[in-house]
Amino acid sequence: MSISSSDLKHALRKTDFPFCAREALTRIEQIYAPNAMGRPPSNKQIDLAAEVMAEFVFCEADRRGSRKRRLSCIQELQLLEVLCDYFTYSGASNEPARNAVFMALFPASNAERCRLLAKLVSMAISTKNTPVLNATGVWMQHLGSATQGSLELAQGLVKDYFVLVPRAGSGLQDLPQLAPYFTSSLLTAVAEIYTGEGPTSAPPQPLLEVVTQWVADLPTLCIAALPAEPLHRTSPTTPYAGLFRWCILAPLHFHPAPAVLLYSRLHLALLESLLECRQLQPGRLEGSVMPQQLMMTARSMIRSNGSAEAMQDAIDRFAQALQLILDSRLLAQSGQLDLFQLLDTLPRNRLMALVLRKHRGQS
Amino acid sequence: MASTSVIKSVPPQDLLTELRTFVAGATRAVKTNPLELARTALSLLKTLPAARDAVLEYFCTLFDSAVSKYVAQIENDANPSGGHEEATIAEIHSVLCNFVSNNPEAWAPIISTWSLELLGELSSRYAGRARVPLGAGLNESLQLWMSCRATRTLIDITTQCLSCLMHSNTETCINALLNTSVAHSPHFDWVVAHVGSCFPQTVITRVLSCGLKDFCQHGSMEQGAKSPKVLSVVGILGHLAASHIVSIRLALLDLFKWSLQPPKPGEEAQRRATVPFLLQLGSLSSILLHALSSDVLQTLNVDMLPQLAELAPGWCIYFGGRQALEDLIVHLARNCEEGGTQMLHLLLNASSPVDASKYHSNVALTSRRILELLLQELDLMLRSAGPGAYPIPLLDSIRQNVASIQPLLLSSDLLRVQIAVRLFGLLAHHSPAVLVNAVAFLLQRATKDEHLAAVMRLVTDAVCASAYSTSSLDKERGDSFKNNYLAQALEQAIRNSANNDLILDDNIGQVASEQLWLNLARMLKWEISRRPRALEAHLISDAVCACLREASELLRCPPEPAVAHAVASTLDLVDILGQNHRRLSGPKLKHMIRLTKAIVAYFFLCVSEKDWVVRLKGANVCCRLLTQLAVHSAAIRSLALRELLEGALFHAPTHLFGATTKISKDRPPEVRLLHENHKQGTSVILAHRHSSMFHAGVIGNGPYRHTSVANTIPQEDISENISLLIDVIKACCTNPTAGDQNAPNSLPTSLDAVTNVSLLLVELLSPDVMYNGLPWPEEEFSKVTVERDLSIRQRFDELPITWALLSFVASHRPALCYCSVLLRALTATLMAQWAARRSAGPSPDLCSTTVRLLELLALGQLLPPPLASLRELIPHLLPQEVVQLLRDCVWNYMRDNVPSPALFTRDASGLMWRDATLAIPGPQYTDSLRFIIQKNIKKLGYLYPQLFPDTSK
Repeated sequence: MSISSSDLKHALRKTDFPFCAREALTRIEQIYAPNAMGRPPSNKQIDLAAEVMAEFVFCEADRRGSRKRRLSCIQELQLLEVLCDYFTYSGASNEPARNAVFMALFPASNAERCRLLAKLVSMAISTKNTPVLNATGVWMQHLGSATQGSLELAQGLVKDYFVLVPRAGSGLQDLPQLAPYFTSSLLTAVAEIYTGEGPTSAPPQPLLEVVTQWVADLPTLCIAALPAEPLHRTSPTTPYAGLFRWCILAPLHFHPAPAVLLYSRLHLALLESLLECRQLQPGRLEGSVMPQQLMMTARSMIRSNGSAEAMQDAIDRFAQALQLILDSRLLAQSGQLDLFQLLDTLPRNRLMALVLRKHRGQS
Repeated sequence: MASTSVIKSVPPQDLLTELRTFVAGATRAVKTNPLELARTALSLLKTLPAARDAVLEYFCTLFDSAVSKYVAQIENDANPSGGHEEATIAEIHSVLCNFVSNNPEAWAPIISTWSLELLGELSSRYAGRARVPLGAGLNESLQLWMSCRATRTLIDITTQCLSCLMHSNTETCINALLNTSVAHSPHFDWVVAHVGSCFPQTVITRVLSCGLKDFCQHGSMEQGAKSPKVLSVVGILGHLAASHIVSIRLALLDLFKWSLQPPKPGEEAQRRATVPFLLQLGSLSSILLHALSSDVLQTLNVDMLPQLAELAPGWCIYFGGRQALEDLIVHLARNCEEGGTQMLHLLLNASSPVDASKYHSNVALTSRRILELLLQELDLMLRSAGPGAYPIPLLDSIRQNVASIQPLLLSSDLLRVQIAVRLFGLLAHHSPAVLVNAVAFLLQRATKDEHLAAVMRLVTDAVCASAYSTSSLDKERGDSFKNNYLAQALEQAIRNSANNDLILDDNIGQVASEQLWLNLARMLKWEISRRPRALEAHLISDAVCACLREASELLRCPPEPAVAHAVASTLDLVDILGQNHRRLSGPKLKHMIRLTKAIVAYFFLCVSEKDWVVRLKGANVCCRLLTQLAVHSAAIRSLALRELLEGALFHAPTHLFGATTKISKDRPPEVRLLHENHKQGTSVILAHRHSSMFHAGVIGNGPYRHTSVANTIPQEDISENISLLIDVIKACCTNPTAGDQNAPNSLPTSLDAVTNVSLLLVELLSPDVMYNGLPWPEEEFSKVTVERDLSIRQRFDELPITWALLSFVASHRPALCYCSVLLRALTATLMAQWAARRSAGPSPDLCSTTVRLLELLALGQLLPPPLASLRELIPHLLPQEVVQLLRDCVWNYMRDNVPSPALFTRDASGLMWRDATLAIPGPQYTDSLRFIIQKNIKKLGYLYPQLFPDTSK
């Protein structure tokens, strides 16, 4: 087990690129696998693993540690293939070790590897590689679904599947079934990417379709990635606020367009999802929506110059969402009053007035 | 961990298989059919987004191998044969184009970047191959690559991407184009050229804006360093200029206009950098400079300058300081092939605006500075390059439009005049004609001393700087003409004003040529005063002398009398003969002859002038000029005299000298002999019958009936004119040695000349060439000469001037002797007339004519003392007594004493006299006189003691 680092490298150097990567991955997993004593790997071991990764997996450095030429795209493709294979066939038994390896392979600070990660995930989606997707889900959750790394990853995926090849998105319908954890994180990130303000920052049509279908088909998807102990209170952990934002702002920016119907469907699905989740897991959701997110939506509404009719429509939707969010105690306590004050400045709406009156009284 | 439902789904095997096949094929691990592999790759492109980069990279190798095969075929002279590669490429083409057209926003940037990079790499890699040398032109490489399937496909894909993005996201594409161009220049140029010619408008605009952006970012940091992107921009625009120069010009103009608009936030830096950027472009490419100068320069006007002046301090940092910026501007200005005059006007208007309210001190100072720098630069270049070097574009441009510079010379603003003068001095280095034209222009139009000073400066500068090559100039004018621009200019000016006598100012009504000569006169006065030292070389006199021919022409037949006066007064100031200075050869004889004739013509013109001051002035000028000429050459003198006399007697407006003209009136209608003969009869004409007699016509019209037209000129005018003429003749007769120290006795008037006059009179007045000698024949002989005598007499009657001329001759003894024939004729006719009037009383006309004749004879000392007083008797005598006196005292005396110059002797003062004591007439001549006085002693008694003094005492 305890092979010296030089021996390990020496052995790996005997093979050529795609095979050495594969071999190296197995060795790395061995390093990360919880050993008999249940001890986590030592720092020295982690350093060794990092060196092996750099030299044999990503071929970033040669044997003396200096930089090498980048892999060509085809070699990259080979590497992706190796990675996919590795995660698929390394067995389900040692999932924690696998996740640890995954995290070590793609630290959020390394932009180059994040780029590769995006490709890897994209490939995994195409090839329906559940292990990789699950590992990515963990990665995203660990990082926070709305952090920079996750957003970039999501951006790349959206570009691949919804922008460049719009029809490829249709192959993603079963993604929630394959990897709900990952999908949920992806949803959260995507909801943050598109602010919904105006046509330029609206989600592409295929993406909207797929998202609607996902939420409608699997109401619990939205909370699939909700951590038991909220780690990042500053960034959203559920897609609710972001997706509601799309729906609320839609009437203001899209007049009579096919997308409007789609947004209505998404709105409905979201409301239903909220209802169902509340029943399934009451209390777990508490405080997962921050008032700041809703306030952003309200400000966007104020800024927009839609017609009065559209505005009423938007406020109706806002009120519906707000009612459910408040009712399920999804909204964090701090800042609620600010939100209510801001909502008072919106044009008068009966439903909103009712909702506000009710919840003001409670709080 | 919430993995609610984990469905273990098997990854789609076919996709993975495809992926593996592709990877294996692409890494050459397994030998595969390229077409199949390409199809796999294309399908992966659709289904596996992650493989996109790899697939595109694989396509790169495909295209590369296709190109290398193509190149090898050309190099081996093999026939290009399409193989499976053709099909592969075609398929790739169609799929990629499909992507692009279906979803341009997403795919076009990716594909276009890819294809451009690939093109760049291919172009660089195969540069210098396929029998196209490295330094080959754009066209050759364009031809090579466009005939290659692979590259043509790539270019096609690129243009399609661009056309999709033309309206939305061109920036990315053009940026990629520029970046690639920078990386692979110059092998990549053909791509840019091709793409550019597909979308000239967009590519040009975008290329410019990319270049500007880059310049804006880097220009300020790397002071003055030329960023590769700007170079690339210049290269691309240079290529496009060949066919899209109009678009380029438009784009540059738009850019410039944009920079002057009020900036939006975030654009200040770019707008500020625009002008430096344009300048930089201009300095890097002459084509762009040309475009700039032809369009942008035209839109600049004085009103915009203050705005630019505010921006200008910000420009300096792009070039490393104010000095460098100015140098660049001057350098650019120097190389402008167009718009030189606009630039000049702009700078001038900015330096000293006509409208004082537009004065902007900063702008004015800078403009003046730039102007000065520019002129200095031009001067330096011309001096260091020497003649015959390549011309400076700016000067060429100005030269082509020189007509708009010329008016600057006439400006009331001294700065303008000075600048224009310097500019013409510079222009003269390569084309003296420009200078000559300018001087001519100025000479014709100058009205102020400053302008004439400008003329002097132009001419003197040019003489200093001239290294003038011999051109096809009139050889006869000689060297002095060649080097004297003023002379050429003068000739030009005269020609110009002859061609179009443009009226300068309607109010004054001055004719340009008059102004020209007035100007010359003014300058000649300066020359004479010798105040400006530059004039000591007698430039102006030389010039006028060189143009004597033209001057003579003007003087002879001027468009306006004023012109002639101006010319004359100018000539008056010139030392025509060049006696007083270094000029060795005087004017040629033929010019002098012309001039003489012209002066005579001018004299007659003056005489006809109404204003007596002008008349007198002109006549004085004529006198001076003729004196000069006549003294110079005897030939000229005789010519002048002949011209004057002929003119006064026959050609000129003789009525001004009192002539009465006779017109024969009532001319009978023309008779045609044929008609007369038709009147004779209409019958058939038979030979030897009456009918064959023809009418011979009428010969003559009977006696001539002349009626003399009365002369309407006032008598005092006539006498004044006559005295003017005599003055002029006298001037012609000036003695060359008069006033000479060596010949103290010489008379002011040359006797030879007067003799000449008298001979001329004989020649002109006597109709015959024979028997014009001095001796008087027997009285009987006058019957033979009666016709000639009558004709002479008629001349004398019609032309009162003849009397004046004769008396002029008579007063210069002994010249009258040569007019003997005229006197004889007069005497003869008078005798006959008096004889015919025996029955009638004396006629006053006859009487006065006789008195005149006798006065002449007395004045000329042809009749010695007692006879010299005959004229006093005539009014008191009867006709028969007059006849007797004329016969005995005049005719007979003259017959016996031939009037000859030999009778006269020269006294100490040089005058000729006839010694009265030696020529006492005998009694045969005086007795009749004595008898007649005695007969009329009552009236004439007082004369007797005077005429016949008592010699007995």
